[in-house]
Amino acid sequence: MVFSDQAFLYLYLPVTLLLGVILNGTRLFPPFILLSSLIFFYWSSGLYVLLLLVSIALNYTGALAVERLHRKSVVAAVIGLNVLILCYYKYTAFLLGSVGFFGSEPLKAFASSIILPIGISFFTFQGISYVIDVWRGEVKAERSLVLFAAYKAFFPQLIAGPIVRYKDVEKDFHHPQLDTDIFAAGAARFMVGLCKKVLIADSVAGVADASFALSRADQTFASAWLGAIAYSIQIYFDFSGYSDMAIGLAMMFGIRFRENFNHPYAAATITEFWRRWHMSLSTWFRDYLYIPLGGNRAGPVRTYVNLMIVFLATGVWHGAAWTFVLWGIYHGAFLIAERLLLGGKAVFSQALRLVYFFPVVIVGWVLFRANDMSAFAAHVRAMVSPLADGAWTLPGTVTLALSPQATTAMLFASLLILMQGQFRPAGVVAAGVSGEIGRYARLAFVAAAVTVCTIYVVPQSFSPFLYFRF
Amino acid sequence: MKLANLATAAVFAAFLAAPIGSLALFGPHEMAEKVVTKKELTSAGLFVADDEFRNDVARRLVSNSPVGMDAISAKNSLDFKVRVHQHAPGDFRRARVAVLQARFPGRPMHDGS
Repeated sequence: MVFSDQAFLYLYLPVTLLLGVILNGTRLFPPFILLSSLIFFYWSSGLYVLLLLVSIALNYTGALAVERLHRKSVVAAVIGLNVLILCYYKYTAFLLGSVGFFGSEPLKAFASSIILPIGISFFTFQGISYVIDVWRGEVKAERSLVLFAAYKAFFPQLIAGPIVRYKDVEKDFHHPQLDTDIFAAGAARFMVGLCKKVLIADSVAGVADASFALSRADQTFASAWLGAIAYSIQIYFDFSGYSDMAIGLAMMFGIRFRENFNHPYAAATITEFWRRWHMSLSTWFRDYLYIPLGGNRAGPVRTYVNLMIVFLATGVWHGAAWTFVLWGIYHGAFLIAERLLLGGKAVFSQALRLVYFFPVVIVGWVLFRANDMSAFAAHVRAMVSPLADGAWTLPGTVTLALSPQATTAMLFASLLILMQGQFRPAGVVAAGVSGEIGRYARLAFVAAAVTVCTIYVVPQSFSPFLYFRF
Repeated sequence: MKLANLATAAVFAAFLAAPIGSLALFGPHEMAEKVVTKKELTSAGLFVADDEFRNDVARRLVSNSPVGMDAISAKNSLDFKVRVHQHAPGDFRRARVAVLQARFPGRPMHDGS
């Protein structure tokens, strides 16, 4: 079940929201959040809900033990168990496959029988951050199992983030703050995300899919760039749309999440991009890996090594495939190069953005999207062959996917991206307004958005969010 | 309580409640999509010469399940197998040509013999 599904929007959400508003601030609120979130996860993942319960139990008891015993070995054991669960489900097939399953058919069958539970990377990282924060004394271990489980399983952030840290929402879970202003702002924020998902990301998805499905012989310069640009648009609007919906949903329950995106395509360098893209993940790696490794305090060489370790981990976190490993190394390499050339200074230049930042990020997304390394190489080869025969033609399937709706969405999204940092769309502004006129502007935006989204959502086919597989 | 906020909440609630409300008031429409059942997916009707049932199942799989466009590939594969089985083993190549001609009308085909 995803946030743009009819079953979620028209069945699960109305019931949950109604009960959530009624029970908000009462003693029944945490048990209700827990129960509704477990139903949500069971609906999405079936019996993997048991794995979520194991993760809750592990981190709840682990944090209490860490607080009581205050031993490094206990923290290491809890983190190790979290990582072990993640590795088993996410990396067993990849690791065994990389050594050819040692030539063993039963081992191959065992590896292919492991199914990746939705959201495991998110809720594992959430658990690790909680235990480390307790160890560092930044937050007290939660005594109430129900309240901790409600935080860990809270459905808006459960399966595709943002990675919410307990210290950021502890107060809200104990005393949720809900009034009509917060609820209306949450509804508007949710609609911003839904518009991003169904109007833009889903509209351009067909173009990206058609381009990446082309055989090497059929891929042209034009189709390769079109597909790469379409995917760059799709992944941003899909994932940031999901984050907007998660933040909006949480607000409607009286819980405030931190922002996960801050105009990432407004950056002119890869360093700046990572300060703005999936911020809950990049700050997680900064606080729980980069700084413990020594950060930039042990000389330039050690800093570069630390950066590369962090980006290697970022790549591996996204998926168990060599393309993700190389995607991490690719970004790490540019970050190091920028440190060497720019000395870590923030640079904002439109020229740099157009000739350096966009091509680097777009090629990175091709690596991220490609099925394997040879598909990536073929796609990039087509992208750098403007003089090849038929380079500027589009194969039939791509032309077919480039419907008027997809073309309009691509042009509109490109305009929004190019203007990022200088201009904010009306809906985004309306979602966060204050003052009487602002509230009416928000009402107008929500009314328009629900009308348009209903037209798009009702006849839609299944369209999962891209970040669900991580 | 601000009137604009209440109106925003009401609009959002109407958005969430409209389809269920419509269903409660007017009942399901005959054109509403039916979920494909396991019984249908394992039915022998998928293997009969007339492809009406295969088309119906594939259409509903495309629009109402995570299978998506793979349903069309599965349907094409079933079409091919059904048509091949309709012919005697010796007619296999001609059956294949018939399927290819149906898929790519206008292109010259030969049966490889």
